Amino acid sequence: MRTRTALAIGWITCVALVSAQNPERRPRPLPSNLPETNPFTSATDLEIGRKLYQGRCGHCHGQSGEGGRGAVLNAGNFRRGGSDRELFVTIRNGIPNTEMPGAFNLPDIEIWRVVGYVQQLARQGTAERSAGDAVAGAMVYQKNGCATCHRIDAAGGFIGPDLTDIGAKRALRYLRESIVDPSADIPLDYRLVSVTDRRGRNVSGIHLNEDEYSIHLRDIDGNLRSFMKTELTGITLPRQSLMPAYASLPPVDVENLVAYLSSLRPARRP
Amino acid sequence: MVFVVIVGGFVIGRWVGAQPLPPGLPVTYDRLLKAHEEPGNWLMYGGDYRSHHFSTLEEITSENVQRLRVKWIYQMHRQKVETTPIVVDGVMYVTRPPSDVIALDAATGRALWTYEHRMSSPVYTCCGDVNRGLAALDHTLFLTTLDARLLALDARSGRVLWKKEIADPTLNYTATGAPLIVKDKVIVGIGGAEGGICGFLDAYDAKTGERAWRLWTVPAPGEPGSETWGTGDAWKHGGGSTWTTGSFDPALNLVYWGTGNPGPDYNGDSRPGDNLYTCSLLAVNPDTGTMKWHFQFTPHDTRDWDATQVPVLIDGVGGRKLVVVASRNGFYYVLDRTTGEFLRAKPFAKQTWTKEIDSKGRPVVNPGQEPTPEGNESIWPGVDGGGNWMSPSYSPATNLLYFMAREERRRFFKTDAPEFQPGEAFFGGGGGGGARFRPEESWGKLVAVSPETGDVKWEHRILAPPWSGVLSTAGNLVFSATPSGNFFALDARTGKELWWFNGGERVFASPITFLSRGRQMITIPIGDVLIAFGLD
Repeated sequence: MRTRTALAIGWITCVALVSAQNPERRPRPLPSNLPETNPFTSATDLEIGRKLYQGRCGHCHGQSGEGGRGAVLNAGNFRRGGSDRELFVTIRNGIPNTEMPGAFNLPDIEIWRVVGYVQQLARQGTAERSAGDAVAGAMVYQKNGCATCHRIDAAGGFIGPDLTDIGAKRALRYLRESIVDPSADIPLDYRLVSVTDRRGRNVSGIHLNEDEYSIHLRDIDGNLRSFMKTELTGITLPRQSLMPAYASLPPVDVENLVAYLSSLRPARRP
Repeated sequence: MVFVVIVGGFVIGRWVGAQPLPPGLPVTYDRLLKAHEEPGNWLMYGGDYRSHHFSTLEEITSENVQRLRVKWIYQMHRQKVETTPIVVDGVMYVTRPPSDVIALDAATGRALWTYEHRMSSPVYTCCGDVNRGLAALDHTLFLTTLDARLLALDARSGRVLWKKEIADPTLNYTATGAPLIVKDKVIVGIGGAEGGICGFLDAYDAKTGERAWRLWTVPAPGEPGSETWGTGDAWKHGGGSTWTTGSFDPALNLVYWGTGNPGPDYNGDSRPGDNLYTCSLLAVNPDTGTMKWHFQFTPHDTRDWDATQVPVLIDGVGGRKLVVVASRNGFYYVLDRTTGEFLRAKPFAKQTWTKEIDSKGRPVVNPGQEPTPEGNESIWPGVDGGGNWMSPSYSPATNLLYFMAREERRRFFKTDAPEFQPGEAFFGGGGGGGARFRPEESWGKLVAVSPETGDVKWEHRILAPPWSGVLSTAGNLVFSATPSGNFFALDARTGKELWWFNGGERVFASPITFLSRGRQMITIPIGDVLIAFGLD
């Protein structure tokens, strides 16, 4: 079972800025007098914030905050806190070990304007509700052996992404697409790689690391494998998920499974 | 008496056997003019005034490079080391972020003195607290600092001789490039176009630090070129920074210096027109600061394609004086450096933004290649080029020009034009990656071209877009490095890979070579360490 959890990879960011010399992605110290409430909430500020959001945020979080690869923002629930100040910190610094980068080079006033627009999205309260049955979805999860590859809390495998918090990270439509067409968008930390050595032996697994001379993968048994490229006759990176597509799963099972995955949310962390 | 003789003999023996440090000063202007005749030293940022970044040293060759080993490592404990050291007869002078200078024994990597710069104020920087190196004249080193100062240091002690403010760092001016010495002047560029500065190129008296001239790269209303900025105040924050070191032709008495992007970077609405003299190469009289000619690579840029690449001076067939640039916009340009006449341009990286470069050198742009509010993912090259600031290398031995190129597309988006604010960015959009781009959609390569034609002779592909420059040597070798941390050597004629070393961290710098105690050494910063290599 594949869904879209991915660890942060510095050079592939959703919203990162790069600039004239070369990119710098490092949190700036927060202002010592950072206010608790947004000082920039006029209609003009919100309109500027909307445009900033559209350019920087919408392609992951959805142009209306409906979510996608990024978390749903139009439901009013924010894992990292929904106060103006908390949103400011999240947007400015990003979230470590996730795909959410910081807006490291965005002026503070523009971050406040984005905060204002995100709060406006949150007030819509239009988050999609799953029509499925989460309890039944848990059975679907069990029956189809999803735990062979995926982990929820301490139980499950390691081949696929950890799903412990997945409901808070991904929109319903994204979860749905991940089930029926997992190759539609593959997290970079879960890319399939296949290598062939000089004897014609094939080894496939999850791409872990690569440089000009060597490549490293985790095979489906969990073995960490390392190859010098001079020992190989072929390396392929299929744009295909290691997870089988569950397109033939009955729609009701898909919806129940989506409901179950969507219910997997952590208690709010400090 | 016997004791005195023995002790005296020991002292004399030690004195004779030791390497006197530093014996190589002063670095006279005459030595700088003939820097290419001192292959044991690396006297300026580009290696010589032509910025050939080439050495006639040939102890290390394509036959023996397999025996290259680490000789010493100097730990900097800083991020993003972009420096190119200079070496003067056994002493290496190197900068470390943000604006420190260390004199090292080039044989051992041991520090002789350290100057640690104290910032005068917090500084907005777009791209890290970097510094790219020093210049030397007589007994003095010249350093630009992140807080936009120019410092003269005594090369024997690191003591500050004088300090001048180039510009106000609280208004987002910063300085990161190595100065260039021309005659009795220190020529320095400025950075900060991402913060809304108005760019310039400066010259200072090397003895006193008094400013000799300033050439604004963005004209004020009424000045030549001001008609390319519309009628508003956009010019006041028009960018046009000068953050990479230029080149110098003593015979023509012209300095060649590239200029950066206009501001705001990604939103050009407030600056209708070509926005001279941004994204251009300037030919400047170093005595007066007057511009003899300019050539603009990317008129009205909205993709942050600075033209701050190192211009390389070569002589063409019939002795025609040329200047060549592998531009951030993805094209390789050949210009007549006497007149600025455009001779030819060829793409060296995938590009989608222009149909062609016309006979005058002006791009015939394709529609739909501008940043958009929702993000435009169709544009090649990416925001970082094409080419960039990393040093290219020209080898007279092979008559090939070598440079690192970046192949990638990026997502360009546009927001409202920002208001200028001290300490804040001035982008009007962005040129970020986006997780939709797969690693296979961005890579890098070392390109060898015939310098007069731009015809590619060979390419060496690397895994990711590079931030390292190139060194070529008379030993039939080309050196560069990859973002994976691999420092490598290629056969200069064929591009065949001969040797590599995993330094374990990204490389943001260019290699150089020099002599230490008669042996050829090669050094490059890898991650936050400076590593020197030599043969067994």
